[in-house]
Amino acid sequence: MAATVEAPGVTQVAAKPPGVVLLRVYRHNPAIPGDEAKIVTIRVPRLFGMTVLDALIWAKENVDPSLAFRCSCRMGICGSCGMQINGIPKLACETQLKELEGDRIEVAPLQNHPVVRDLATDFTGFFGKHRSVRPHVVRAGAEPARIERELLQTEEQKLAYYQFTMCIMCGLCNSACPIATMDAQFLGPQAIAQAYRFTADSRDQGRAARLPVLDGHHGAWRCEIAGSCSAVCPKGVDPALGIQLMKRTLLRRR
Amino acid sequence: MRESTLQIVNYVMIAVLFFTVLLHLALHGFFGFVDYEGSLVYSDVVTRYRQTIPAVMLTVLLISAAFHGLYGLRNILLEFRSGPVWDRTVSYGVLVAGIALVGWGMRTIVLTAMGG
Repeated sequence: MAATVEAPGVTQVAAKPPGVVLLRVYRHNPAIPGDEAKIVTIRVPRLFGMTVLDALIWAKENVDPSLAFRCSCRMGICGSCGMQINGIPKLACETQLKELEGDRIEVAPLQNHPVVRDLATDFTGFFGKHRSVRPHVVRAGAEPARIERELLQTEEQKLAYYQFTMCIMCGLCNSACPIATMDAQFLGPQAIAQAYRFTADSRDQGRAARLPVLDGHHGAWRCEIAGSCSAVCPKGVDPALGIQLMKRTLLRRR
Repeated sequence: MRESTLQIVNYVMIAVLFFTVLLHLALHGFFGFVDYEGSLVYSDVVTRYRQTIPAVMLTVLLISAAFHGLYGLRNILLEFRSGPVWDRTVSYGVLVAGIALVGWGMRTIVLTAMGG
């Protein structure tokens, strides 16, 4: 099947046969000087149970091997295949073609992440912000040579942070965040929600080291509760709630 | 200063602003005047400035409105651009603007109260 190249926003689509989906893919390689972003339309046969990721893999195998995107597990666990599908951040592997309206599917890289090439984005800054909040249980004093005893928790203590452990770091929440679009230094919903996850953990003693980052110019207080992060999370996590709980923690530490 | 400290001050200022604006409008609209336009007669305005309670209320209104407004402006400006230089410029710029605004308003209140 041939691919037709068209300028963004210009429709040049011929009558499509039944059972075909028109995949409109964002193509751009910033590493090539002068390469301009464009939308490429690829005709992909609609197969039973096909996901957007399946369609992209089909396009790569049958139409254009140079098409770049990231994927791994294909089952919504690794969080690698996040992208804008019809303008909404989603995991390509969890988005069935049949659940999308129409036969024309727009696929673009995640917003608020620099494009490496085509649909693959750079997560260096995202992971850097994640690391800045010390996303692990911190214990006071030196790390013991061996674990003396288990750090037990009650069910209630576990439930205080449990939903935030579901985060797969796919970056969809940061992509949907309007504040992250405006403020590149904003920690973002993922990092702040993960900071809360560990701050709320009864085993953690790293609160004092973690909170200054969250209480800075571009920390939790920049959130304006748009809630789009929670709306797009593929794992049902509510990062907006995590941010508000983090704000409460910051107020109560005084 | 921590952002959470500023936020707490902002919450207090919002509460103060809410009640002082209500009181301010009530004094103009309901108590002692026939109508709103009547409350703005020059001699009446000067008389209120010379009374302790209205003057204090206007001062509190001025400070709370200035803080709340400029804190919001600072948040908007911090989102516009990123970088430590921009952050410092905005924070100190807003602080200077706040001092100037409150100073200017206080000058009006004090001079009028003193018969200026």
